[in-house]
Amino acid sequence: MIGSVNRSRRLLTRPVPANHARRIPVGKPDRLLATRLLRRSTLAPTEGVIDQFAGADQDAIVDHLLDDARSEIDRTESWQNGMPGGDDWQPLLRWWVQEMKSPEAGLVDRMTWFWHSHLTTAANKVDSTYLVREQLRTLRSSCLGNFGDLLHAFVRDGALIRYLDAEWSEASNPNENLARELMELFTIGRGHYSQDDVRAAARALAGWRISREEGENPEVWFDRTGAFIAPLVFMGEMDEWDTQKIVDRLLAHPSTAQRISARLWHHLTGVELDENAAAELGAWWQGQDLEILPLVERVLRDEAAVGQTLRPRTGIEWYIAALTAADLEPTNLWSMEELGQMPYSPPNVAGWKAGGHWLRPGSLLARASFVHNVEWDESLLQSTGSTERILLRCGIAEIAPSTNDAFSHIDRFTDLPSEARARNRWRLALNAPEFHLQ
Amino acid sequence: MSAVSAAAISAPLLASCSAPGSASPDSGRVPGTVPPAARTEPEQRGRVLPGAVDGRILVVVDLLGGNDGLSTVVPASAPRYQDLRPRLALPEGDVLGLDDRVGLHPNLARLHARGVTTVEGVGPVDGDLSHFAMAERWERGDVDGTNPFRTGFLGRLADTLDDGSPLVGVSLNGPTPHFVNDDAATLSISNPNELWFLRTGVWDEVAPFRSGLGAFAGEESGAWGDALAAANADLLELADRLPDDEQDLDWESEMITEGGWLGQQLSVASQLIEADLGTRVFYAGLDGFDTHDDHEWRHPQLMGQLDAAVGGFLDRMDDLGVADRVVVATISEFGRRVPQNGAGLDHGSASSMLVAGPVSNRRLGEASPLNELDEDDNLITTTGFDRYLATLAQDWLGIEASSVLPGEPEPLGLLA
Repeated sequence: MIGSVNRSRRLLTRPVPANHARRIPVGKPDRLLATRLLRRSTLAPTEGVIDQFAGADQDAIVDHLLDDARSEIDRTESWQNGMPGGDDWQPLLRWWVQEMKSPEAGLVDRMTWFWHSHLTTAANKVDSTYLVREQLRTLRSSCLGNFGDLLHAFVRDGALIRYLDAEWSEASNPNENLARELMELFTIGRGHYSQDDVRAAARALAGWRISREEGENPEVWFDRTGAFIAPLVFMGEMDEWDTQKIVDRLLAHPSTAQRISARLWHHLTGVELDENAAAELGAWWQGQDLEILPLVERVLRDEAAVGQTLRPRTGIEWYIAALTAADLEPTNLWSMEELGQMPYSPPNVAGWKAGGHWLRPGSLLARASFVHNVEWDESLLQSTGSTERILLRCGIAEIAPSTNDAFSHIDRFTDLPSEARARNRWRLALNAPEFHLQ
Repeated sequence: MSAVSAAAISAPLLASCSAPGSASPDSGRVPGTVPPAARTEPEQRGRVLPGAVDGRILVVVDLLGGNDGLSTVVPASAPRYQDLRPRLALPEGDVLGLDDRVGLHPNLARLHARGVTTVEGVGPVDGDLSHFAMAERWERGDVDGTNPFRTGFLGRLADTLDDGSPLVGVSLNGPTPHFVNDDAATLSISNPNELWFLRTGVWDEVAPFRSGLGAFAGEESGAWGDALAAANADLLELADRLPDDEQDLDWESEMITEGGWLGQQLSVASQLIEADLGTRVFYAGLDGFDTHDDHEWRHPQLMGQLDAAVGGFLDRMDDLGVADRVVVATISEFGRRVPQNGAGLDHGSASSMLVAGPVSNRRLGEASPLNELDEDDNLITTTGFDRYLATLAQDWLGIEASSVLPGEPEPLGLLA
């Protein structure tokens, strides 16, 4: 569009706050805090939501986010009714993506994703859309509840039981997979248990079964004949350990609260807490009885953590943000696999690693490839001809001079039709450093 | 992966941000977020030995989840093997004989016909039963958990072989820590179609976009700024050097119809070898070996895929006339428990590896004794996996093993 060159110049000459001397604000400078906070606490805030909070202080924004999340939890029944039934996995996956990219998506959607990435499960191994649907229901309705309740529900969750090979485990010949991952990944972490503890927990957890009646939904039940009902030693204590006691014991271990809270802190802020800080946070969270909502609130109200740090967007975070910004439909769900983060298809039981590898050339290549293969909506291109309009849609509140410069490159291709210009502005915006980070 | 952070939790964090010695706001680096580039001083550079053969290529196929060595290189005639696995042992008559002691899995017929080098008893020192701990040890070439290297073993091979080629190392199975490296050009591809976008001259609209990416490649400020700039620069350099012609995969080939995802990955590898980009190290992955259950039907399927993919790939190497310089070698984080747990096998320790290509039909390493299992009922290591990696590095690529691995692991003599 004709105005775009002038717009770029205007961006360059706008005065900026001293502490961000090299950054150029996009739109009004008072959108910065809202943008940062909303990008961290939701998967992808729309321009409208950011506008709504422009100029508001952190506590006001957090108050709203939490209220919103509470009422979303209260509406559990209405979203559950919207979940597609049937045996086909694709409609359910599409529904979840639509929920994440919806303008109403908020803290609940981010936390549902967070817990899936922590307590992960692979749909192809579970091989039952019913069981995956039940698990997703649990994740979403418990995502801001009590971590202990969530974990207890998960060790009795059919999808997880099948994923971690506990379905046929017999106390006389136990399968160690669930016991090991429960300790290594979901709770206390390596260094806090021995192989003897794994064996003991595997025995104590044995007996869970999933019914396989023709024409009926698979349901989880407990087979006492396969269970170990006698005293054994776990974590140095002799007791008649069973699933309830094992999980309670792990929840009471300080390392559980420390690891989970530090992981959530990193997820929401990009800060990796050091051991002392993590221990302090964990102890505090233990005192909150592992209630998730107060923990999230504490993170989001921390000015320093939320205000200054950035971390790379993972594949799905980038994908949802791109769909939201450009109002694209998730027509090709396989894109998420190409972007390295297909829900319910983790690379291994530990889920997806966070960190710098999301910015390596392979990831950037997948993102560049996506923006070239996607079908752009004509009315979107017509209504977002200027770089500033596009950046606002992308939830970007400030840019580096080099990003500003990148957009000016497009104007050098004078033969390019205006729609092609707009397409390329969009492609660049979604591949700008500011969009790769959150 | 050391956690580098000085951040406290609440109010003290504000103070620590402006404390002397912490990152200044100008650098854009915030305490607690240290980009990976900043964490890694360059490693010691590996050494290519005099007389190394030029242009040899290593293709590593990772059997993800932990492949059972006893179902791959099978001691079918051993009574102890049949006793410990009443349900899961392969019958002596089914295996493809290698010598009077062991045979290959029945579904590895193509590899059997070609002849392979097997290496038995390959495992860690002071092992671990965790996938992640053991995968990380293999990734870093860390046989006993004390490795000082922070880069990946394959990344170090690529750095050592780096001659400025546009693509020295490639992961065909998406991003992997195997290729964490210092400066050789490496790339992770999650989907073969992604290469389409990189080809120059295919589509006019790519040019302005690439021009804009050039501006991102020049920026080196802000948190993660240097990592992003470097990644964009790598991407553009590669785009300039990749061939423009259409190189669609042959989806009808047995390599893909029977070899599945691994077949796709190795098809892309064959294209990149044909494009002659100077790629020396490839990493491919086949997932699904974590057979805690259903081992008796899942493992044969995987063996069939491995055979079709690797067999088809080596056929292509023959067609391209480069077969004498391409070796395929398997790795896997661990083997599996010797006694069956019913229908499956829990996490184990030592396992057997396969090397195919211009190598002899030989048995290397030493079979772990079946009557002398470790305290977890797993096979004991007779051949530290660092010796296996040393073999690939030194005997095949001509890289001095002790320059890319801790200690002085002795190669096994792959080409002797």
